[in-house]
Amino acid sequence: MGSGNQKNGKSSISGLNSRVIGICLALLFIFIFEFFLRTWCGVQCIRIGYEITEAMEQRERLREQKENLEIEITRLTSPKILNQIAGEQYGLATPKPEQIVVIP
Amino acid sequence: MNWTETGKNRIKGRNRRILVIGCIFTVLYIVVGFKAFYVQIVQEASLSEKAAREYKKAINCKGRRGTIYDVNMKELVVSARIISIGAHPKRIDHPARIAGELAEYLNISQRSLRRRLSRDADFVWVERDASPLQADALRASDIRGFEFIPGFCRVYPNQTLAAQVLGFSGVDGSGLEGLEYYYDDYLRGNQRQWTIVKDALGRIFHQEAKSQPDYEGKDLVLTIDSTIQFIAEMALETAVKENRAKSGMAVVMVPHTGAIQAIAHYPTFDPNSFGSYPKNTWRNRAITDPFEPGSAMKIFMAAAALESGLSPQIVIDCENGSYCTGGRVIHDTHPYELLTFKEVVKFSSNIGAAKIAEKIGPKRLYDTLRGFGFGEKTGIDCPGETSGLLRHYQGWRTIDHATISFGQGISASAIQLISAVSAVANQGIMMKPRIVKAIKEENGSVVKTHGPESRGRVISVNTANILKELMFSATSEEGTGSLAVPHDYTVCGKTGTAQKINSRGTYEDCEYTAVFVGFSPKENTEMAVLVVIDEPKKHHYGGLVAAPAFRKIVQESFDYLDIAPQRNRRQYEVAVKSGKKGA
Repeated sequence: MGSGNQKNGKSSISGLNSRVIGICLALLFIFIFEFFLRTWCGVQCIRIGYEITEAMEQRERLREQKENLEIEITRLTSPKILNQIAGEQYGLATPKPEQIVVIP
Repeated sequence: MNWTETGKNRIKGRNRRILVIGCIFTVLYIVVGFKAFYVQIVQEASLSEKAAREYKKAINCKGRRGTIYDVNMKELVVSARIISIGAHPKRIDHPARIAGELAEYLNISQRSLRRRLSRDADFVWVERDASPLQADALRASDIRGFEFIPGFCRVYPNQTLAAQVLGFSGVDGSGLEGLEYYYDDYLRGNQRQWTIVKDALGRIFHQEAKSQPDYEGKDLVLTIDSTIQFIAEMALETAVKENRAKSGMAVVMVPHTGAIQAIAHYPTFDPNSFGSYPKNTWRNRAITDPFEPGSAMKIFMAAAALESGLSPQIVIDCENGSYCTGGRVIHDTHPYELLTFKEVVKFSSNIGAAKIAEKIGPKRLYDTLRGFGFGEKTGIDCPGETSGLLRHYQGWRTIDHATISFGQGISASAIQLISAVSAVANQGIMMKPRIVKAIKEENGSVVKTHGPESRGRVISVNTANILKELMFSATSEEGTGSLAVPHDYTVCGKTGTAQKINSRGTYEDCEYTAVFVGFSPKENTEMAVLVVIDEPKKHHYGGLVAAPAFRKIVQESFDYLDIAPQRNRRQYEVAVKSGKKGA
């Protein structure tokens, strides 16, 4: 009987221990999972940070290119350049007053 | 039993070892804990700051300077991105070798670059306005000690167009001349701070801007029309070159709004490289420089006479070309005997003008000239405006009274003269000249608008109408300004030819200012134009030198603005009235 109680006590202790160990392992697993998750999130955050920076740089480059092209359009459509191109390349000239016919 | 005791002893020994190791680990954990506490809590602030210095960097950048547009929203001045390249000479190991390698990428000689890199300074500028391509090439060479600072530079895509009006700004982005200077507070962008986070390799993985929404400069919308400005500049250049003149200027204004459509100068300069041009070409002489307008002042003498009740039909004895007053002799270009008041203006008789001025007295003449704004600033939004010179009538001698009536002994700026003539076209109401129409935010919202502003009535409607007739007669076939009339349009105008004063204060015999000022069409006036040619050599009369430029400006501007010729308009109106429209 006494040895039986001792056996029951031992088995209940070992059952308790295995539950504690199980909980500890579960907590450990959650902790490690959270640790890896956090590390992964951090790595992703930095990677996305790089991608955002690169995208912003690309956006700036494209904006710069667009602005330069707009300046070039403004330069090419300036009255002086248009007058020069019209005269030199296409032989156009401002019409003389007697050449203008106003249609009523 | 022995076995049991041996086993127990072994367990005890193992437990002791575990206890010892446990204690050691506990001590170590406590040490680590204390260290962690010391580092994380006690030294947190200083260590965080130290770490932040390693991977965080604050970058200051200036907002883009505002764009300047013409009245049709065409860009006249824009800001382009550039990179300024600086160097830290103390961090550069072999300046001579590096100068040799890099000189080809930059617009700088090897010698100059070597000298800069060898300087005993913490920082030197290598190139203030390098292109992004140059900066990329330098970055690719991977030489340490260089710094790349982004910024903006001003670009004037139309080059010389309206250069004196627009002005220019310096390398630091502050306006130095013209509207760039006058409106610097609006155009200038504010400072903006960026914080960037770098990794160990110096790559940026995060950046954030401290919020400052209005860090970009504001845009200006001008009343200048770039096409009319170009037309005026071309006509002026032709007039100056054909007459071998020293310089010239032309102003185009809308009389009923005061909007300036063009201010042209010749010779001009390119604001993109203003340093390569003489300084005297930079300023807006139409605003800053007074000149004697000559016979163009007869318009205002006539206004004073009409306001005093003198009839345009009154007859004046023009003394056959020579008249002595105040101890001096006044001459006419062509001798006249008897002329009506109207003919005095039409043929531009100095003697006739002097005699009319005598009739009305100095006070009336002075008050009328002051009323037209002579001797005071117009208030146009351009820097360095002159008020011209109009002395008080109480200080006039007899000869001053006579000469002021035909534009000598009085000086005015081009903007004063055109504003005064515009008042005649505007039924006697004087408008304040203006060159900026609106100030806008980058997103298009309006910050400030400058609408038409009346300075009040200076002459009656009746006087204005008679003056129009007088000016119209001056551009008739017999008048002095006949060359100013474009095909199929009517012009009211007045020529002016003034001798120039030399440094001794006497008039030069062979240096003149040729002027033509007027407006067109006579009815429903669309524009007033002033042309001033300085020291023409071929001819010197305003009617021969300045009037053809006036005609060209009006003719081409009206073509551009689709203002129908008067003859055709009349034909059209007749056709409509007689039901022949569409025939």
